[in-house]
Amino acid sequence: MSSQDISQLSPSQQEALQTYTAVTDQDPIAAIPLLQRCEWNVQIAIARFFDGEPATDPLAEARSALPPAAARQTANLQFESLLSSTQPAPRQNPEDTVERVDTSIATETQYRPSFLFSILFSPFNIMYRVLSTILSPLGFLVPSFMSRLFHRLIYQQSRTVRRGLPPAETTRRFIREFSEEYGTNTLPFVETGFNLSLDNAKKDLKFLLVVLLSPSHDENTTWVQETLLSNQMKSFLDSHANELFLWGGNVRDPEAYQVSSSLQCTKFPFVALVCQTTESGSTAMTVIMRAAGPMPASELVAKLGTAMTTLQAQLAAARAQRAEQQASRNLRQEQDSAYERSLAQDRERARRRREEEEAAARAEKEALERAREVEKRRADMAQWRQWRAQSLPKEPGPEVNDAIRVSIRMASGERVIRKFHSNADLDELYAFVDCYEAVKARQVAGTIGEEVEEPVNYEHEYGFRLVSPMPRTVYDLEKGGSVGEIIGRAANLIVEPIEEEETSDGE
Amino acid sequence: MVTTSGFSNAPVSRFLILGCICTSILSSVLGIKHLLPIKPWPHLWPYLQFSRLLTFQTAYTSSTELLFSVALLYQFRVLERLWGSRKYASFIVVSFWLHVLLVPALSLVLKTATLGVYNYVPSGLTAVVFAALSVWGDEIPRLYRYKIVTGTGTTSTSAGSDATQAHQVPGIVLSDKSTTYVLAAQLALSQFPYQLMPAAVGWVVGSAWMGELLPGKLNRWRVPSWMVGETSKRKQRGQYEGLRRRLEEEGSSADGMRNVSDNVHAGQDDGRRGFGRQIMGYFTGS
Repeated sequence: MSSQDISQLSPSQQEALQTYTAVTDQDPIAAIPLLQRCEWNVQIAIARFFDGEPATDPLAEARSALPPAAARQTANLQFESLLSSTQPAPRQNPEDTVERVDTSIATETQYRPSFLFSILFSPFNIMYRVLSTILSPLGFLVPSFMSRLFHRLIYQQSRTVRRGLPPAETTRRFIREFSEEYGTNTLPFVETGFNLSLDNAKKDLKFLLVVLLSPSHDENTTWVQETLLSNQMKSFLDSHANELFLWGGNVRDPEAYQVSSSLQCTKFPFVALVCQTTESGSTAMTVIMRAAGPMPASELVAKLGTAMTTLQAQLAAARAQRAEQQASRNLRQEQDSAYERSLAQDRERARRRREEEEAAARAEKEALERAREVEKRRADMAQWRQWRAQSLPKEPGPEVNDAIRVSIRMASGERVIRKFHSNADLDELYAFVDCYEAVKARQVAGTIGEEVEEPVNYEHEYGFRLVSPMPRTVYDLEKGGSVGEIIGRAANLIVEPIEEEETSDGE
Repeated sequence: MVTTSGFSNAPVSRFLILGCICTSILSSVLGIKHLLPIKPWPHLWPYLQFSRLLTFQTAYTSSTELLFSVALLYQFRVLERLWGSRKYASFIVVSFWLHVLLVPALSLVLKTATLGVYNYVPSGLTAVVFAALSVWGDEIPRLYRYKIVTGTGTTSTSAGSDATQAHQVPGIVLSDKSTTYVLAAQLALSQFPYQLMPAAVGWVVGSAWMGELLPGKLNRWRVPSWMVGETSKRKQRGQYEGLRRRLEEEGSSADGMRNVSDNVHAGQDDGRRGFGRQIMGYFTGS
């Protein structure tokens, strides 16, 4: 089967298979399905072999990667020329590119102090308990901060531990803590982790406003209250609500800490505006504005506004381009699906036609078979009649006294009179009637013709009944008995065909 | 990054590190290293050299201690970025003075407890470094953990694949913060056992700061803002804010702060250069 499979491939496919197996050293039989899934593209197949199969359809990806139709870009030339004249070199700082952060910590569980650690501290622990019990009456002599400090050093649990949580949970915790600390607010924080927010902003071509807070920073509270929660900031966020994601994080969380790494943040409180720019390739998210350190709300809003207006045109163009791309992709997909549909219809039609042809051929064959059978049966019947005619005993001569004289009216209307021995079987009478033609033919031919064999595998059935008309009596063959017993001395019999057996009722 | 290399927005750390290096090198060059450590007997009694109580903490006498403490202080510059320079400077000052007070006092206690065997106070900023280490351990989140497998477990699957299985495999769990603790351990164990006491004092001071347990609300105290080059009066900032914004709008710079921070990266703003930077610049010719 496998060798068949390989031999059935086209030369180009075999070549692809050879290249693939040479690189991956995989079994050719196992390699074929993967290559088929990759449409016999060796490079994709090899990449998939080593990187694992992607969840998405590569065809769709390839389709989406198709060069877009000519994208029109709108630009305010005057504004841009002004910009370029004032900004000496719009150099793209490679450090401004925002990457995803690693959040694998999310799966870890609570850290337990190691065994060694507890052994190390157990003597202190015991000593502390004993001493505190003994010396508790003298406790007023010891400054309270000393005992609390000692307690803090001994019991590591008393330290506030921020548990590592999944990114979305971390963000939700941040929002909860923020609203607990600064009261209910209307800041539209997104409730997703940083990576997802970044992806969403990239997908929707929106701005991502990253706010990083360090609660232990002295200026943090004032900054939040006077800048972040100010009316100016609120109105700014409201007016740009549909083109802005607001993501916040506390740098005591690993995720936000890593975000601060990737955003090159060296001063808190920190605000950064991230969006997709075309300067650094269409795939990278770039920091277009950093506002580090405390600053008044008006200044922050002004900076945000300037940065956003600079890039809004670009982003709008990118959005339009993407919409166009999406439209063309939709169109192509529709065409593809229409093609697929018509292909399926054609296939269905062809299949139906083939089935019909097959059914017709089968019916024809069956009819032929049936005809041959009928033919054979007829031939057999003729042969049997010949044989039976020659094997019939001779008509008893006039010298036989008890010969029974039977007058038979044939189905054709001819009247035949014959004598039978009285002890002859009723079957003989039936056979005579049936083979009358043959008997007559033999008589015409004169003497004994050629001997005819009894046909093999043939059960003869008589297609008629012998009936005496007045009173009506049916002489059935099944009852048996000799002619003399049943019929008597002489009889007038009528041949009555059995209607339902039309095939054997040839005469 | 909070951990962006260099000293951008970390002037106190820079001052501390450069000062530490300079004094240590100077003491070595001038051949006055023997004046730094304290031997309570005979220095304090009968020689009555009480000035040593104010000089022992200024410089390290061995280059390994200097190297490790400088490396640690460089790590802890993230604290300054998270806290702001003023808070960090206050913390350093508080822990410095507690170091000055507590270490000689405790060494005297230990000397009497050990009947004069423990008779040495090593020089250096060890207590300050350890106070910062304790705070750093609390403040900085752990980013990842890994395990060095010491034996073959029940299954030979790699430790990262399955959390439950990974727990069964014997090994040492380390995190990205472990290397810093190893450096600190090296520092605490140098001049064994004499650096242990300052290290412990530093750790306790740091814990007390973080737990807000210092008497007299020392952790609320802040150095005057002019010391770290900040203007504390919000009014003053508001005074120039309109002017600055107008300037920015005139220049239509997309983001003034980015230019500033880039300049800090490039090291071009002479006006903001600290004293240490200027000395460095003198030597490096920039």
